[in-house]
Amino acid sequence: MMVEYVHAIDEGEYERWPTFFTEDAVYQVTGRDNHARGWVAGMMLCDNRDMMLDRIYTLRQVNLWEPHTYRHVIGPTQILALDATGVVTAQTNYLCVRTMHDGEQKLFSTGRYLDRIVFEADVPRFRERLVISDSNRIDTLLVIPI
Amino acid sequence: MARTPGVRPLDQLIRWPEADLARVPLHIYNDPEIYAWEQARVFRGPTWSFLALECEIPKPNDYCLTKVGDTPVIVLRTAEGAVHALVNRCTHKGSVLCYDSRGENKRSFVCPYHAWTFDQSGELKGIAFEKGVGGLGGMPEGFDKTKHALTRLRVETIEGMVFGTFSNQTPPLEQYLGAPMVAHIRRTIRGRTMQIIGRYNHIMPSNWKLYIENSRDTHHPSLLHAFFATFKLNRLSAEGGIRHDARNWHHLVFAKRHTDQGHEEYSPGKLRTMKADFGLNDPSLIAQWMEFDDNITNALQSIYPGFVLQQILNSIGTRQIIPRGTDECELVWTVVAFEEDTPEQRAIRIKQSNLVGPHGYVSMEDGAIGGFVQQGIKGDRDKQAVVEMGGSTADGQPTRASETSVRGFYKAYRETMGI
Ligand code: FES
Ligand SMILES: [Fe+2]
Repeated sequence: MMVEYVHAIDEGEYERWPTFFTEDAVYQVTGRDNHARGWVAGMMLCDNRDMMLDRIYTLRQVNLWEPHTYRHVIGPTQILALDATGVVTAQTNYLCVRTMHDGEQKLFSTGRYLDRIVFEADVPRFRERLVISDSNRIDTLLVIPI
Repeated sequence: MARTPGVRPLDQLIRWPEADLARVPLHIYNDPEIYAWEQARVFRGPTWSFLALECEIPKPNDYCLTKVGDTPVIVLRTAEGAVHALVNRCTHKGSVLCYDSRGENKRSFVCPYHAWTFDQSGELKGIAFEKGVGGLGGMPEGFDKTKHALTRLRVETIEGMVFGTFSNQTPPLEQYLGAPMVAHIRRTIRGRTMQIIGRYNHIMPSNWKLYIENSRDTHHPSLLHAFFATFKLNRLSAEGGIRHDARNWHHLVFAKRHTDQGHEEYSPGKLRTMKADFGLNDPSLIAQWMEFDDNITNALQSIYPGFVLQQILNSIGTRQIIPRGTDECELVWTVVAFEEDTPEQRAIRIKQSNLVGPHGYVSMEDGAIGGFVQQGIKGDRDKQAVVEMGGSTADGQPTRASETSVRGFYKAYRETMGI
């Protein structure tokens, strides 16, 4: 699931992105400092799957951006907790490089995923995926989810 | 203002094309010598720059770091509760005194290099080994510590926002802002207690002025940002306008989304940004409550040189521009809620933070578009931008189909630069 998620994004299959989440899932990108200070209005905050569909539709049809892609490298997943209802809390380090249409490559973001995962008919899905970027800086724009 | 060392006089660097404000020479966006003049005359000139929110330094002896142009600045609350701002440069050899972006219980500032110590007003209080060792070395007899204080900015606050200026020629803050600007700041904050809910440090691949122009460019929102146009959030066919101060330095642009009567230009197929078939799966994103009696749903208030107070629906926040050389700048977005908000109102503000910032539905293009201009002008430094929509003056206008606010920026720019 961890690997499939980043492949879907890195290969530009953005329509698959919402399918990794439960209907009521929360997805949010935030900076380490924002997170530490309890500042809850991170970047790209979706509090249900419909909002994720909207993000992808706007990425394809509405917002204007210079073409670019990501390449994620993820570390091993560490299970932090497993509660009685079957919710798994886990974290995974990531590194995300952005390649622009002209070939320029830049380290776009590095940080960790902090996840709460549930099983829906044996399929693991994110109920919450918090992307905690080590930097609070974003270069130019954030349109493709990390 | 003295000439900046190593930099040619301004009249050799810039010749403004016309007496009026409708043309801007393109080389001002990538000339390092002009950049150096801007540091001296704009950022350290007779202008007020936004420094921080008071809620970032709530307790006595709190501090945080910021920048005014290139200059690093410490903003602090003294033991007595006053707000001070000091240049973060030790007067010995120039090291920064603070290198952690915020802190508390800071009653004095000890330089990490050779331990010179300064108080909260910037006075030099102590020099390590001032008397030398065993009667040898140390500072000379007549060394006058009072002549080596930190540079201190004048500071004033309005509605929880801290501003600072380097120049003693700058008029008091409220006079500098002018009555219409003061009124709108008070209308937006209304004495409520700010709580930061998010901060975005947005790196933009363009000269700082290109972002400021963009924030003042009142006719681009529905043309560049398809999201605005499609949801009729900020179209030129809604009631709105532009207000300014007496000098035309600062501008407020506003719109009332519920008054949108439509316009032929927005009919399907005419503009890239009108996506007739697009509806949100989750429309709660743009559900807003009417927070203000004036029914304004979108207001951007640009204070010269580099500050914006924003209301996008119910997303309230500040934007502070920090130049990073000629070709890059950082826009610091801070979005806030108020202690007085109901939980529902707070939730709406949090949700609507999707509209702004580097990821914002109605703002992400602004990060890219300045870069497009910066790329486009590289080979044509002798050409000019045309800023003629709505005439060639910088006064207020009852329409947003106008570039008057951009001209206002260049009026202020030319006056402060002396060109
Ligand atoms: S540079 Fe600050 S004490 Fe020497
Ligand atoms: Fe914009």
